[in-house]
Amino acid sequence: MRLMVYVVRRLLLLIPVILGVTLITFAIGFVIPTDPVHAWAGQKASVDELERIRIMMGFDKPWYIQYWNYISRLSHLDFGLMPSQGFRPVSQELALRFPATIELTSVAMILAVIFGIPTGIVSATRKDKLPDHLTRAVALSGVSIPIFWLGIMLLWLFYGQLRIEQFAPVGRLSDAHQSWYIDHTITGIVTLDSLLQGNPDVFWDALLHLLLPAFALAFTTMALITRMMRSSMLEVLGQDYIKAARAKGLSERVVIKKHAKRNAMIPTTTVIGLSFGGLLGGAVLTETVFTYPGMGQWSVRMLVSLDFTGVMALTFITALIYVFANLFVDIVYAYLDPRIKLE
Amino acid sequence: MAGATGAARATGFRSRMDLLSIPLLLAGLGLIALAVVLVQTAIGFFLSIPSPRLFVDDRIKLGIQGIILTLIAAFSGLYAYRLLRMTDRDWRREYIRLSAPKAREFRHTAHLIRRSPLTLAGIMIIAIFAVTAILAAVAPGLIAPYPQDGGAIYYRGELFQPPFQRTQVWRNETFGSEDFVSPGWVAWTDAERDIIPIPHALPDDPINVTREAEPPSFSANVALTNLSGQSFVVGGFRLDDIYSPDIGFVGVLVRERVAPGNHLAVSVSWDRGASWSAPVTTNSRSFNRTYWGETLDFSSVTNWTPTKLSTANFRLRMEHVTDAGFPQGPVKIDFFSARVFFQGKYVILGTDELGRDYFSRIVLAAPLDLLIAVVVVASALLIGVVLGVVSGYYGGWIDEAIMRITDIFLSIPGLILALAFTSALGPGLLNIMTALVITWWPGYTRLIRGQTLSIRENLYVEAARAVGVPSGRIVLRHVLPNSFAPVLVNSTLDMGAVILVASALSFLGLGVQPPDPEWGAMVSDGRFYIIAQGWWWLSAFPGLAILFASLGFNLAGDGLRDILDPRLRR
Repeated sequence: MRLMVYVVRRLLLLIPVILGVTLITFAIGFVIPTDPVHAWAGQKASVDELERIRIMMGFDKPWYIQYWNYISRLSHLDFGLMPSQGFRPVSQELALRFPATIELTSVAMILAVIFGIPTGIVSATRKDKLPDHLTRAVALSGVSIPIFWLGIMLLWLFYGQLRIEQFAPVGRLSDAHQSWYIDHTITGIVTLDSLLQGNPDVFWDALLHLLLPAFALAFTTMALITRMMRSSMLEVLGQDYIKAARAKGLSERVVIKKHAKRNAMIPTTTVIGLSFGGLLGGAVLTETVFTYPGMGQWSVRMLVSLDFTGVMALTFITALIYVFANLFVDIVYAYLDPRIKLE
Repeated sequence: MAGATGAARATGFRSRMDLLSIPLLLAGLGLIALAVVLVQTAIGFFLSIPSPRLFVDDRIKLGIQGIILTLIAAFSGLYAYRLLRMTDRDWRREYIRLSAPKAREFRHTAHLIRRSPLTLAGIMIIAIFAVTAILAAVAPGLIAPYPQDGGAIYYRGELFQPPFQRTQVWRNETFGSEDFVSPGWVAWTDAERDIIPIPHALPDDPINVTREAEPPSFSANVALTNLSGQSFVVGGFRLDDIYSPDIGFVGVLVRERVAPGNHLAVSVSWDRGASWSAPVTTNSRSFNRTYWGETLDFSSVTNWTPTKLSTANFRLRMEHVTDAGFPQGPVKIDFFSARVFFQGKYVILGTDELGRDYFSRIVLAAPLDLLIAVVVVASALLIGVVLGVVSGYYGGWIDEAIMRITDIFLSIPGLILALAFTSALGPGLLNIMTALVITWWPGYTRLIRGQTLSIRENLYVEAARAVGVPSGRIVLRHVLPNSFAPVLVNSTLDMGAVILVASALSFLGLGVQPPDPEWGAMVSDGRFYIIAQGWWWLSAFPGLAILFASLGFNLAGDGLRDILDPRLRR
């Protein structure tokens, strides 16, 4: 019951935050130096036409009325039209690209957690020995490495030099399976759809195409999780209850798995939630490097033609995802640590 | 204060001076002057008349610049005041006595830093980075072998050279048939409708193309000779920019159409015609679409030096010869060129797509990132200190409001927030810095607010308040100095993060525009050549530079965090 109260309270607190995010997105769109009417009217519009379009689009209204229109459109998930792509709706493009980014980010998160947590534990239990030093060196370089450069170097190594075809930066699937997928799309997440419809070839193809970008994306987060896990493990291992467990005669493995790891995971879950934001940001870079058809690559590409609708939609959506991901992590945290619920 | 020593002394300004006071006095006056200048500039920013079509963001930018300058001026003024007070011997002695414990703490910290090799490594890397950046900004000649544009105009022909070797440079100097008039030779307009292919790279020489593309009408001109024995001499080949004596090849490329049995005998001279090489005859294959011309090799006729190849000295001689048993027929020269290959300058890291030296560009891009890192972290820190202290110390609705605002900013991932603001503000250094400050200020606000909240509960703060010390002085004297440790650690770590984000933004094309070098932009420019052509150095080295700069800050920050952690000291 207490958990329910906590969840509801956090959800209610979300609303002003999301409204604030819309305010920021709106303010950015409002402050852009180029007059938005020109994007809609085109190059050769006359002054009358410009005025007409200005009134039609509502650009002459005061800012609070424009903001109200903006929010009401956002609540229908109407992000506007793209002037640089023939005035197609943004939501149409997003429907294609949003699942791609989600897939990439999720796989990266899974990779980071799968590799980060055990590495952190190993590093903490073998403190100051060779595995510890190696892990710390790799983790430090992971935190300092630029994601885009890592992606380019991986691409050069595995595709340029070793010529492994599946790592070609051509998107989510190779051509043979692309046509199959277009007919069989359910959620937009290739791995999920292919598993649901029982097509393992497409699944492996999609997974291989995801492998390099997800690894490049996950490396920094992996390093962060490793460091956090290591430091919280070290802290936990110094606690009294660990001494008590050892004194009871439990084997070291049990001590670590049953007592230390679970308590050390708690601060790590917070880091995992926070680093989701880093993953979303890094996804923009990774998609650009690997030409992966996601939200980030699309919005950055539109910047060249001075079309900011993509960036605005990207900002809002990633903020939404981040906020909900953190909420989820906080709920998991409250579930794991009973002390939080009681606050 | 003046009578603290108790001895009877003459009063007055001069009596308080000693030998040490003079430089201190000068330093103090200098700092006060600097503060005055900065305040004036700041006021100028505030009062600057906006042009009629200035947008909101420009005025905000100017305002922020003004605020930052005013704050720097305020700090300079404060320190100048303290330096001036130091000129008083007694005050100085008292001050040193009172700050002895603090000095001892600093010495202990320095000792711990010395004992930790990783922290030292980090500080060393930061120092190298900072020195490189400052030298590159102030005295680029000391550290960059070539200027920013690498002499691109001059060193064309050295594009995409790989690293760790000398550049392989070709020089071509082409003479067309209308350029010479000699007895027996006619510059003849040929009305034949041959379609001549546009000059293309020779099959054995993929990076060299002739320097000028021939205009179509040009190739219809040939120099025609009908009689055997006619010859001409040409000079004036502009091979002067051969800048190294390591010459590997000297040759002549001739393109001609001949009647069977007729040839050209070509010889070269390197001392204005005083001595000539043995003539080499062309093999008089007719040119066609696939046969471009033939290259005659004169590399071994003499020991070539740049002087011998200079405009004044180098001459070319062509003579019409006919084999025995063949009738004399026309020889039509379409064009000929002197080609020289030499080993050029040593490029440590190769050259880029415009022939610019990569090492110089990487070094010259360092000050930009350092500037961005320092300015962004300092500005965010400033904003964070003001807002965080106000929020933490006074509490109430201000605290709630500021916390909600930071929540909103923190709910957008950092890179994407910076991306959104940079795209809105446009490319440019100042806009990147503004966007990054907007991204980083919430973190510092929260940090300092947390510190303020925890320090406020301490007994000494309560005691100070009870005695009646004004809040401002409590903040300055107690709260801020005690929150120095986590602030320092976070600032160092954040400088590394700012470098990563700034280079990511310029990788995406926002930020500093070409031709100014910037590491992220260089990685982005180079990534198109990495798969097909395999020119890995174009993307690898700037990325390594980013990696090392960020690594230095992270190492130092990590080490400082371990050192300054109060539970681990002593």
